[in-house]
Amino acid sequence: MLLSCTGSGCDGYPPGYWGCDVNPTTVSSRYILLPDNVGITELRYQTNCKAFWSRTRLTASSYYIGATLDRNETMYQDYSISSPVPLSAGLLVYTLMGSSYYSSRTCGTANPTSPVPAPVYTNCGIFMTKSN
Amino acid sequence: MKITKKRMVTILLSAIVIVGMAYLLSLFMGSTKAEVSEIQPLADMANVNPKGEEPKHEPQIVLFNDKIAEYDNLTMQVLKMSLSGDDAIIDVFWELKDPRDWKINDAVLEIDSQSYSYAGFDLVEGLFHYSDGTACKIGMQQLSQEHECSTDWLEETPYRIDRLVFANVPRDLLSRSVQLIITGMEAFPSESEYCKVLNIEHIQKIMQADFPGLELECFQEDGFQGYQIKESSVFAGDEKVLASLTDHAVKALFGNMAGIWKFELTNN
Repeated sequence: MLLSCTGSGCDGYPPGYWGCDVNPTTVSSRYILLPDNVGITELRYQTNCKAFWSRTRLTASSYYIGATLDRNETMYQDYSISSPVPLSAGLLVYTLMGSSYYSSRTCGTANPTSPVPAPVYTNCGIFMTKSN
Repeated sequence: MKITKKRMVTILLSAIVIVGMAYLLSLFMGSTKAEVSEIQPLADMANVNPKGEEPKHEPQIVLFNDKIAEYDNLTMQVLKMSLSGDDAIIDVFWELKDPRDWKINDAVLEIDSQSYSYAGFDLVEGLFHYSDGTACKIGMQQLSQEHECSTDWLEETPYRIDRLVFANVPRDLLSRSVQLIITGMEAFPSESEYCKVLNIEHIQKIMQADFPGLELECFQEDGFQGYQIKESSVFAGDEKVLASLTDHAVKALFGNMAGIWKFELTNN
């Protein structure tokens, strides 16, 4: 049996560390319209791990991107990542995981000229919770 | 006479004090009256809205039970249309064709022939079949306590119900002519399957015909995932080679399904 994390036990780990990157589902997303669609930011959820993370990926080339897992409760820290260089289409960034027991949303954007600040709180989806 | 004069002074002082107190009292009463009159409208509001919350508009929702479209054996059904602030929210049930993480990625809302951009989606619920032979139900809107995964559900058709979001629509959306047109779905690999789906060795082999000695790699580290020309390769930093690599990678990574699922949603 594979070891895994659950809920708060996943806090602060990369999705792949406990195998939570296997069979995740995108439960919320927002397109990055500048005004053309250049990418998408997604709230990822994994059933066994009961964990969320945020992922931003590019559908167009030559953009800096950033992603933030925005957690509603102030006592839990948000997780963010930002690319230091412009990336090509198909490349992506993803944050560390946070328990899905706590309300979270994805935020993410792209910029053609400079790195996206981390954390980023623009272009956000809705807050979601998954406690069972 | 002396006593009478003293009395008169006392009476006069008493009168001054009484008049002064009366004046101060009238000032105080006047101020209280002003406060009451300022408070009065709030009291009126409290009668209308006892909790003192902002007045809420009646939810604008239209339910549908006959808005079904099929294309290439994939069925979609619009269940509901509502207005949330400046956003139009449309609940769509749709079937999933395989275990990949499919999402509706191309859609437009036409309101009185004007197009409004698709901003994204939020999952309501779904049944998902995964590549390892498991099946899970995920509901994001209710706190169901049923077990999320069961092999029994492998017999059922996997589906999603998504809330599609269209931003900055007119507030009187529900009294206008509305059409939803969905033209594409996309599947993108999970973080664990990215490099497997990309198959960089295959891309390298194809590209070496034009760029002999080219070396490519797929990487995943510290929250970054992607592909690149190896720094040790003679083509490192070559923009033309990178553009060609990007073309190959996009074809490999993005699963697409085009179609047209069109719904007339005008609320008659």
